[in-house]
Amino acid sequence: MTEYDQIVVGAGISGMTAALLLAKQGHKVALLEAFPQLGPTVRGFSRKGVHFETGIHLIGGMGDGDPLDTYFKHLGLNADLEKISFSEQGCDCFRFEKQGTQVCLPHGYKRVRRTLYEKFPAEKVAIDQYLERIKTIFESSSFLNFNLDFSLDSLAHDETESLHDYLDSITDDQDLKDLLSCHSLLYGTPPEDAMLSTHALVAGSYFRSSHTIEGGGKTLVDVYQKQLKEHGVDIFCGKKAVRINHDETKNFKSLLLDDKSELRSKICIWSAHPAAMLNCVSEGAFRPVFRRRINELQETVSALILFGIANTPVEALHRRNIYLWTESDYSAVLSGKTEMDENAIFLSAGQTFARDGQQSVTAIMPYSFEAFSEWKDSTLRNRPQDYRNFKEKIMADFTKQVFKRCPELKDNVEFIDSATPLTLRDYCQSPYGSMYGAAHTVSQYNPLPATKIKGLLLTGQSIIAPGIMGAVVSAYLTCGFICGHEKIHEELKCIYNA
Amino acid sequence: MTDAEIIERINSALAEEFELELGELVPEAIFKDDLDLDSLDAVDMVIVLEQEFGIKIKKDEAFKAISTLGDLHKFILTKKDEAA
Repeated sequence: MTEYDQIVVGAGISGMTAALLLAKQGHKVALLEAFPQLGPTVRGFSRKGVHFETGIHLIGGMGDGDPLDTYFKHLGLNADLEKISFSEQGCDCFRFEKQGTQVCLPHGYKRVRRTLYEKFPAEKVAIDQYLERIKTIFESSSFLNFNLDFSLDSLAHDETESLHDYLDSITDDQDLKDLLSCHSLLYGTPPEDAMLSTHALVAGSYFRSSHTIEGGGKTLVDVYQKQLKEHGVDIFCGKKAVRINHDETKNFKSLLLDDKSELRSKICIWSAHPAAMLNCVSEGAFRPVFRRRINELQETVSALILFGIANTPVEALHRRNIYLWTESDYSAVLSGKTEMDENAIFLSAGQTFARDGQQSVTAIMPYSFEAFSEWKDSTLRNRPQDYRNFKEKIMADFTKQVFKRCPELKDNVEFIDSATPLTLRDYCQSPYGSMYGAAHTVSQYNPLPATKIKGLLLTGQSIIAPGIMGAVVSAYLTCGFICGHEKIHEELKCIYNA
Repeated sequence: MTDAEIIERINSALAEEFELELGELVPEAIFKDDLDLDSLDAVDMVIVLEQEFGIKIKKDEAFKAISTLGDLHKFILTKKDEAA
């Protein structure tokens, strides 16, 4: 039996990043993925010759010299990635539907400021305060600002200020507050609960820059895969971890897979959802209070997703996204229980066209798992007929909403497939189909990388922050405990300053 | 609730959630050395105490300085006073 230096469970962005980072540091690494292919959520899928994105719609902080750019260089991914910049003139188009107005937030702090000034001339002080605060929080983390001395302090989850309270403290303008909260739709946590610091990491990354990648998520996964292979990572796809073995003094020993094979190592990095890890450890390994805490983690919202094909590229979605906002309440919207006509809809299109000029269009609506919980015991392959009937009806309603509220799509787009919270649960392996794993809130204590089983470490969106950047940073945080944070930080600093 | 009752509730909550013997829970007990509770357990302890007493401990610098059970008793009593 091969003995590995580390075993990484889960090949999403955080798992692939951890495996690659460790392999590049000279370790012998095994990477395990339950799905038959790497990066199931990020890679998306193809239908009728068109590629659909399920994980990558817009990537923040990947412009030249930005944090993600530096991480991708460090991982050796950059040379094979062709970035597509979203429109500098305005890429996040936020539509106040009742007023019939729209603000397109650009990227680049100066442009963002100018755009906000134009729309809210009486709120210049609040706008300045907000942008300055976001920038300060973003730049005070040594995981995002490589010229700082390395410190773990900036990651401590001890913030108590919510986005909602902060916005209340700087302005009374509800439209401005709604607009400045729009990024909360990109991490699925309502402003009352969301930590200002988490919000700043997401919003701040999009104020720096907003991109996608030529070829989308599939290309990103392919580029990861190429590097993983080049650096000798043993990849096990279609295999599931079923048991985490440890010795009497709780040192991690080996991982048992569903095909009865066993991988041995002293270190296991768990990048799948933390709750899934609990199912693999013996009853006495963790205290009841820890188990309960992990099982009861508040999740980010789930969603309904429509996948459509536009016969000709949609001008309104060229290098930009649309947020349909009925001037309702974020708390209701992000609980996933709002009526459809009051719910927010995020619209995005593939920026790489199919050969005949067709374009993929994705519509996402926050939606609660609860409406689907009666079918929670079904799997991707054995959904019952009544579920399919329900799904068909709900998606027909959703389609109507999209065409009514975004008429530009009406005669051009045909929706051909869809996903429900159950679909998300089964592809992302998150307990309630959450889009971004566990929420980062003012009252929640997310799990730390270390566990009471020595050598069993956690990583992923649920640990640090959501999104591609959150996943990458979480992998660097966790692997730093193995390779030395200072050493890796120095390497990143050199790349950043080169 | 008297101070003694609060201390009793703290001790019984810790005993139950962390599988400790009530006899071990003397004020001079050091969490790390005597009770084998490390910084990872501290997070769980915060959650237990927040739920038990309906208080907010998150981001309280004073909590980080706690090393004995007696320190914790004092910390919670002060918190309860502030909340009252």
